[in-house]
Amino acid sequence: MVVLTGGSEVVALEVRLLDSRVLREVKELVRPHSPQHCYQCAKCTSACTATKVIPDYKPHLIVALTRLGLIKNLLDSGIIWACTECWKCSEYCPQDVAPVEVVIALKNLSIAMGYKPPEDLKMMAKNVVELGYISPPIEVLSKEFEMYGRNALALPELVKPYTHEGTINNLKKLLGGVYE
Amino acid sequence: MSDVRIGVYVCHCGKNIGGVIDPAKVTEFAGKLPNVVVARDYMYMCSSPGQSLIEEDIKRYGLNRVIVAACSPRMHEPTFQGVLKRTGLNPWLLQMVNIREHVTWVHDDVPQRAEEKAKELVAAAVARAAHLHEITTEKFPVVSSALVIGGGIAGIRASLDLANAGIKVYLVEKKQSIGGKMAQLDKTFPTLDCSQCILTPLMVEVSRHPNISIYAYSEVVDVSGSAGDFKVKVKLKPTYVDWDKCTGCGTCVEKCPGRAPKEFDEGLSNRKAIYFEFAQAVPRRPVIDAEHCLWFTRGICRVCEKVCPVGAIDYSQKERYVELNVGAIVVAIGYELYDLSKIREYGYGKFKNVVSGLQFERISSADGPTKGRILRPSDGKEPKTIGIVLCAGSRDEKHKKYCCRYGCAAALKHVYYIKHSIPDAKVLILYTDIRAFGKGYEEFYQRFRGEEDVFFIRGRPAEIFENKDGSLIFDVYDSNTGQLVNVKADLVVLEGAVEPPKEWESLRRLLKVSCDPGGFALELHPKLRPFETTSDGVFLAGAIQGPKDIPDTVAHAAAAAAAAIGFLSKGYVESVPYLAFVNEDICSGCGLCASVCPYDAITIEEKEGKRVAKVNVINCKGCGTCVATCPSGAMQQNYFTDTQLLSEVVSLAGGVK
Repeated sequence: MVVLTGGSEVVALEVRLLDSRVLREVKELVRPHSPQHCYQCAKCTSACTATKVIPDYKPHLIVALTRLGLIKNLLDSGIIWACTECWKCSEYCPQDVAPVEVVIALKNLSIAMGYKPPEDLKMMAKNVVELGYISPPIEVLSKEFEMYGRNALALPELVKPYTHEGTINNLKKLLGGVYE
Repeated sequence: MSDVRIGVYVCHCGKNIGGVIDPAKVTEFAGKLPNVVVARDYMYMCSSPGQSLIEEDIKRYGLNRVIVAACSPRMHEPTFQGVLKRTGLNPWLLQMVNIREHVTWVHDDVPQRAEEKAKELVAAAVARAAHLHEITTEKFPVVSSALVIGGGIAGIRASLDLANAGIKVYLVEKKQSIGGKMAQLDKTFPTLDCSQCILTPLMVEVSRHPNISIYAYSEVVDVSGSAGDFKVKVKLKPTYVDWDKCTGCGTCVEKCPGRAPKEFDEGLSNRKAIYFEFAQAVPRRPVIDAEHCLWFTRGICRVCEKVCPVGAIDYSQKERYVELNVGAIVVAIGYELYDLSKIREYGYGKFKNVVSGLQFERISSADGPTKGRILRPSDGKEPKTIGIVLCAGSRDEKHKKYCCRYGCAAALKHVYYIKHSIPDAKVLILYTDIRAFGKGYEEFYQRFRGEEDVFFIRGRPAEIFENKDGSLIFDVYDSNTGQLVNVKADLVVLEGAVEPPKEWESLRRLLKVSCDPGGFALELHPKLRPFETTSDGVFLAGAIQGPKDIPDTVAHAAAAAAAAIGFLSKGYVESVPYLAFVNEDICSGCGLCASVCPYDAITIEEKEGKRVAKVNVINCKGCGTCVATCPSGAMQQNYFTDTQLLSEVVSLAGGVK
């Protein structure tokens, strides 16, 4: 996985200041939450669902790096897409920083800056247009090792969403060119 | 108004004013205004030569109004009023113009326009000065006695200091014993003195002091009158025991079959329905808890009555009231622990082995529920791994924004308790910052940093879960090592947030004391006057002004007592100069003013066949609410009359067209 802190690399103060514009943009996007109030108690990371699966994903570190404007490595690594948006970090944050909001802001910024989104996102966007859901219905395994599908649960067949050329185009526009 | 002779004095305040605008130009402008006899500028008008300058001018030119254009009147109004007094002029013929805070400090980016503003403000002051009149104040004697509300360590210290200065003290305590939170502690940081060993002698001293009367199990229910002469109504709650007859033998307590959670042990053990608050209670007198007493709840028992050797039990006792007359009031009601069950993710109140810091003090105390052995509440087993969570609810936007100011040192003290009692225990300190700010605190911190099996983990657990065996599991990210740590702990201690006591909200309304965003009492000045309030004669001691540890509380209480002693020993209080007064010819006696007055200073009286408002000089604080409310303009205020204010406004508006 990618090292987010820059490792042993010494960062000149100028580099930090260069990116202060990003912090201003993030601050604007996450209002009324306040990344500058973070005191790095890491309660978000203690709670984080994604951290347990991808240890390199650390919400408090993302806030710290963003606060300093050091987001180049962060966006290059693509780690922000690991967030499952469960909102626990926002729920537990004692300073009302809401790290998930920072991550969402960074996702939006990265697309705007021309970063390519991960392949999965493209798939999700495609699903939304074609199925009306982020992910297609799947069969699941019960504790008793039995497969359950919609039929077994007596759920109705999925209805294909209403699609209109204009709607699709608008969605494509909203998704910033992800759905191609 | 040919007899108005004004002197205008423009201060440079070094570069504060002179660095932005040109005071000489403002002076030149002022010199040409009507009624101005002399105008001067000077580098530091508040300095001794600056003051002499004004003094000499008053004598030489026969000035009868002085305008000083300088800083805020909060800063130097009294200084320049002193100058007027020394020359025999009434001090209220002075008019300050704030050209520092209101002009140069805020408009330094537009110096030219700032200078124009300064000129306009000076011109307005000159217009106003013509209408200033002499104001005299009255003096009223003070009663040399004090009320201390709250019998914790702050109230104890304040009472003793006041009483030793020869002042009669009435100490009102809501519980049946004085001692407060400090009595519940096992030891005190950073010296690890036994808390009760240093507290109880003071409690006894209070009870024996000839100048102190204790009203325990009592509440202040009404305060009227004013600084120097308060009338205080105290409610003595029914104890159902005649404390005069009672000898404190404790036979009733021993025989009582009733049970209830013991407040002093923070609910970790049971007490009887008739009980002493704790063993060393002062006064050592029991109280019947009617909610749990079999006689009051089911109409049976009356065992305490039968066994009492002196016939002190009195089930028919009703609440009683006493009226006290005091000159000063010291508020020492301390703090309460925040309800930690509101931090839902930590499971306090749900999981038996998640305890508060104060509960842990009881668990560690020799007179506590476990007789001083550290055992966990769920099954009485000795915990081997203990997590201590700092800032539980403190520094938290969702709970209490402020620092509790005791948690860090208390956590270190709890490490001592644990390692002393269970040497092989593992202790995890889950902290964000360790704030070891007091005298000896850093050394105290250092002492535990190297302790074996004491782990300082810089991180905060987000969710605590309970295992079937009562132990607790949680993940905590340690930002020192960059690792997510999974912890299984036998006991979790929360160093919880604090808040003002519940009764403060009603009490502060009686005392007319404001509160800060955290709800604590607002002091007169956070640095220079931290133990006084905007209510004259009302002083603050201890944690009601903000969270404090014991050393700070004691220092604060002694300071509050010293301030109260100073106030009382002066012997008199002076009425405020900005008094409201009534033009009785216009007043219709409608009474609106009386209904809005927050100080109960206005009464409607019958005078020569008509109803008129009357201002009680001693109660009026000069807030101006009545003046703004009066529909006819009959109510006016010294130094802020309609004529004075309008002349100022007209000048600022560039004259009436």
